[in-house]
Amino acid sequence: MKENTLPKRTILLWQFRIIISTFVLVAACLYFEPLFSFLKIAAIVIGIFGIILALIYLPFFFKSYKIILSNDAVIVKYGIIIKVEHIMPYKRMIYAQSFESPLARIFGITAVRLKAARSYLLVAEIEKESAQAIIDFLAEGELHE
Amino acid sequence: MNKTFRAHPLMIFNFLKPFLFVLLIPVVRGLIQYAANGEYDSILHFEIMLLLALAVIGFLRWWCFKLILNEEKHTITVISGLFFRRTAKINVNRLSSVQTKQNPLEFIFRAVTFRLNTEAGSLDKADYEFKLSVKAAREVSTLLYGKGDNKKIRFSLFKIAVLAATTSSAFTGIIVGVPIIYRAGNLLEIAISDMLLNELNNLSQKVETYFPPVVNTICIVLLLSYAFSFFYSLFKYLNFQLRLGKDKIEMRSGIFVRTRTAFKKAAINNVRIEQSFLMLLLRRFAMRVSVGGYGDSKSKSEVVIPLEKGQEIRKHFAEYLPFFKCDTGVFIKPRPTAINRSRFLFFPGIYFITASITAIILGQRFEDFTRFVLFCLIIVCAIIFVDAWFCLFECFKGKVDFGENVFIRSRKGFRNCELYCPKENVGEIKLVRFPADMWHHTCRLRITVRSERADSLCVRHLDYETVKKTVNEYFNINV
Repeated sequence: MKENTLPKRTILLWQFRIIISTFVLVAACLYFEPLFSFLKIAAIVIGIFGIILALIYLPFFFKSYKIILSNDAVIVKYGIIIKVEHIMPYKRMIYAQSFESPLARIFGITAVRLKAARSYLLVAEIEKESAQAIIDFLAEGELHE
Repeated sequence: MNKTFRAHPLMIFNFLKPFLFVLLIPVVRGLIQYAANGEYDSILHFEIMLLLALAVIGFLRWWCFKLILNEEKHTITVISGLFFRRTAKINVNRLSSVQTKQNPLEFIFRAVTFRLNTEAGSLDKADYEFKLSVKAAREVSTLLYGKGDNKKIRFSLFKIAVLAATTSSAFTGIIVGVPIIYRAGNLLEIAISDMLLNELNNLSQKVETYFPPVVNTICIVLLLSYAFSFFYSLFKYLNFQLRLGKDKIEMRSGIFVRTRTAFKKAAINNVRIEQSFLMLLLRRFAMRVSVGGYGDSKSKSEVVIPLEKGQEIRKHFAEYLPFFKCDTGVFIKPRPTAINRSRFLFFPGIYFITASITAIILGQRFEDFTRFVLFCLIIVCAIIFVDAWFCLFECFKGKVDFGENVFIRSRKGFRNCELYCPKENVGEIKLVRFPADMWHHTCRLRITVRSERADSLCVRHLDYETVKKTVNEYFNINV
């Protein structure tokens, strides 16, 4: 059984995404603030919430994220308040798909979706080589170290 | 060795399809107007710019699409997406089916819509759908399933027509036909729906029967809808052809839109031999197979034999799919006692009494509508009669067989059905007991197949102790 954590670049990507989203929302609130005065308070709340999410919550969430490749299944564990353990047996998997956003491409990482009938397991952004190894393993039955 | 295929350029048009009515047609109309009168709307510039931008994005998306086939490792890699790049690697053995479809436009450009289906796909669409040239599609199909000597089986027009008649319904006709009439009216700027309603009104008043004109109108609407649905199905199944390989089954059908579906025999989850009411009158059966993950028709099963006599269809079944046969097991049948048999007619009897009492009350309450109520009662009684007929089938012919495979024969709605499925594909076994079942020591046994379609069949009034014991032994579980 091999336990893997996510690469450091992943948390940077997540933080970047949260900061950009927060910035866009705050900017939109401030733009429309002359029309609806309550948007000023909304902008402050969103800003604070975004910062807490990016700087406090995400590092803890990142630490809790574990990918375990056992002999029979892929297990993904994560969560701080609500702990989730997603187990997907290899036998049930049909194929794997990598998904790469433009931002993730810049960081050189890619997310993997392991598809089974009527469900899927999403593995957060990992290094391209590792993602390719998982995809190859599922398609060809060989996991390269 | 890797073999790379690129999508057909018609795929660019496919990407622009969502903007057909809002952008493409207005631009074409604006350009025609400019060519004819030398005048154009100020918004045309913006529309052309937007269309060009979308066309460039469409072109780049087409350019990014790649299908890579590895013959040695038996894998398919699909790379797609311009900004959000997706790469999927699928083992050929994991494919449940491959479908190709060719509409008249694609026929002109020598292209086909190619669909890769697996059981992991979402409900309403194929895992991967793209356009390939006819040559490339043939090559991919050969690489996936091999060339092999296929046995070709054609079916007569009569059989196809009966298949179309049994798979058609007035309801489907209304669902498919009404939007077409509405859209055609909007596009041509003609009130087609109003014209049709007026014609219907005139026609129903001209036909003189015992029943009021509204009955005529309802009958005409239902008949027209059914006819529309029938011709729609007929054109879909026309030219139906079955090609049997050693390990694969391939079906071809259609004239205007040609469909070709291929799957490995091993991908079949269960087989059903069905008999609708029309087939019952003709004493014929149809054979369908359920394959996991099936494009935009995931809830459907594929017809293998459209129409054949009972003996013939069982012969074909044993020949084409011998590993589904089930003949070495323990049968469980509904108890052959008089009380148990009468229980099968309990619900039709209740329905008949309820319908008659309701009709009498309505007839007395609304005296002006007596003839309409009588018409409704006749229709309801006819449906109850058919229902009773199928209940009797379940009573005398229903059975469950736990052999090498599981076999179950019963009724499913308004059709008789036989379901064959491998033991390992059984998903759920449900034993249901109503108070009357507890009194008579019987139960209902429902078996659901573990597949995307989740076919299920239920036999009623089986001896509870026998079912419990057999299920316990067969599946090695405790009920």
